[in-house]
Amino acid sequence: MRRALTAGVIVLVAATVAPPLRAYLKIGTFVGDEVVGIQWTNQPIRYFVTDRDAPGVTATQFQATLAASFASWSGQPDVALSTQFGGFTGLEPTENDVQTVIGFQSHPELDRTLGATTFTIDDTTGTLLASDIFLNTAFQWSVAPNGQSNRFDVQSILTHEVGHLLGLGHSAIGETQVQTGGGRAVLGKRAVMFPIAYPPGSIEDRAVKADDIAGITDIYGTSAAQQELGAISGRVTLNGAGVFGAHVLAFNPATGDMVGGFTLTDAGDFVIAALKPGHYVVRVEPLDDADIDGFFDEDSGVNINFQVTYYAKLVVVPAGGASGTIQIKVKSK
Amino acid sequence: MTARTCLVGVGLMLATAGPCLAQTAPAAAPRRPREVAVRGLFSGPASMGSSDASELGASGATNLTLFTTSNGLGVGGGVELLLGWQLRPGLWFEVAGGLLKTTLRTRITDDFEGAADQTLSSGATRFSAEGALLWYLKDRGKTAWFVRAGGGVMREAAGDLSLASTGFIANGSIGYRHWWRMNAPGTFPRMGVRVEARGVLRAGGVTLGSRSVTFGPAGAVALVFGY
Repeated sequence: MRRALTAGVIVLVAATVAPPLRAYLKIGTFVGDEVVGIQWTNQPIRYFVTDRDAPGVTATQFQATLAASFASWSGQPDVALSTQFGGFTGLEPTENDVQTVIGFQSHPELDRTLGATTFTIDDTTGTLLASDIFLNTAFQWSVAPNGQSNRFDVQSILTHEVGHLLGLGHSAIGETQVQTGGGRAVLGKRAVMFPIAYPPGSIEDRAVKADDIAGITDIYGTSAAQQELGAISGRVTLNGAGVFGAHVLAFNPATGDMVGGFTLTDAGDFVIAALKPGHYVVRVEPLDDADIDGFFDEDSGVNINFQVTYYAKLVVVPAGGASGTIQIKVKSK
Repeated sequence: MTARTCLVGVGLMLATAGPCLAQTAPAAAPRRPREVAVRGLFSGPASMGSSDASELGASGATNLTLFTTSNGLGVGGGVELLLGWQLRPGLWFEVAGGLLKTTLRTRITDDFEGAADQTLSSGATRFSAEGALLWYLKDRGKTAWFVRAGGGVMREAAGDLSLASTGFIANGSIGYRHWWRMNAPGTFPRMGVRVEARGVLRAGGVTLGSRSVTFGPAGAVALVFGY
């Protein structure tokens, strides 16, 4: 049985839209009662581009830019990913045609949605069958090499959406400010997969960051990556009870890399994988810099009522191994 | 004098008795003095630089610092075994192997969301092997001042030794030696103590922060046996 699951993953100008998927660092879907991470098991990933121009961007330019976005992910060391352009098509993104179709589409009703990614998943196995991406022509777009003021950069937004297509959820490595007119503005972020985009003109999200690379390597890492990289695992508790949905940040002082993860069980367990060996500062914070429903189901019970807390020791991540379970006790706000 | 020497020569070399003026055999060269020592090491703090958990603005420049870290080595202690040979009077060559237990420390400040400043740490172990030259500046027999310069390789391991990295270590020191006994009978005719203050340059190994090269103070006290 196949069904389409839509809009788990959306980039917004200044707000987020509820995803029906459980979007973690990796996107998951339910197979029975179990959450299974989605990923492409058949490669190359064959995709088509809608044969439609948008103001300022031709379909051909869009296709070339999309190839660059795919390369941002597949070009990472220790990642086994391949894609194949199948040609231009008259098919539309978001149709349930079991083809991977990417292109512009008009959605004036989504006044804060720059683009979205949808999935067709075999819900008996969790196998990813197809995934579509649209960029919303309700906004102005650019493929200028250095960006263009007042226009969103196609490559930056596609790189985010392609991250979703490959199975990545949203990252919480970013700080925002609620705006008076609604929505949030980015103060700073360190992940392409942060759910809120930079303002028009920015091209910063063309380049994936350490958090993005760890995520893609976790899903598509080679056997060499498993030997070279390590993980931090642990549990976050508040008054003895597990904390669900806490954002756990691992910072490597030697490299400046930041990689995030979430506590994903009622016991407060988390794992941050695909880390470079080294020492890490581990910081736990409530998920309060983007709308929670950009990460988790609305009814998932995310706890944001605790103080920012550092793990009391530096955490050692060995190559090919894990830190051992660390226990982090947080206090109520 | 010549005749006496000739007789002695004949006495010692019966098998090859020859003319009285034959060349005498050279005396055996005196063995160069050697020393073995056990050294206690003290390692002082050394900065590894600072590093920020920074987030980027739309231009790609740092726009927000989530928190700041100041990193370094803490104090440590260890033990070293060394063997020394006198190259010429006043100048010695030494080889040493040591083990030092220390800590890596990160001070966290300026958390963007107001978390309290704090210091995190982790244990580390350094294994080292080095060669050094030691020069006695004023050797008055029982006491002497010296300078020493050495370098070698190290292997540093963190935590439960699951994370390890190789690097180089060099040091320069000035010190003072005092013999408690000299020319005493037994295996070790000389026994004394050496105290030195060091500067240690360390490159590579376990890194933390922006600097892979560190410099810090150290000290050593050695129990020295000469033979």
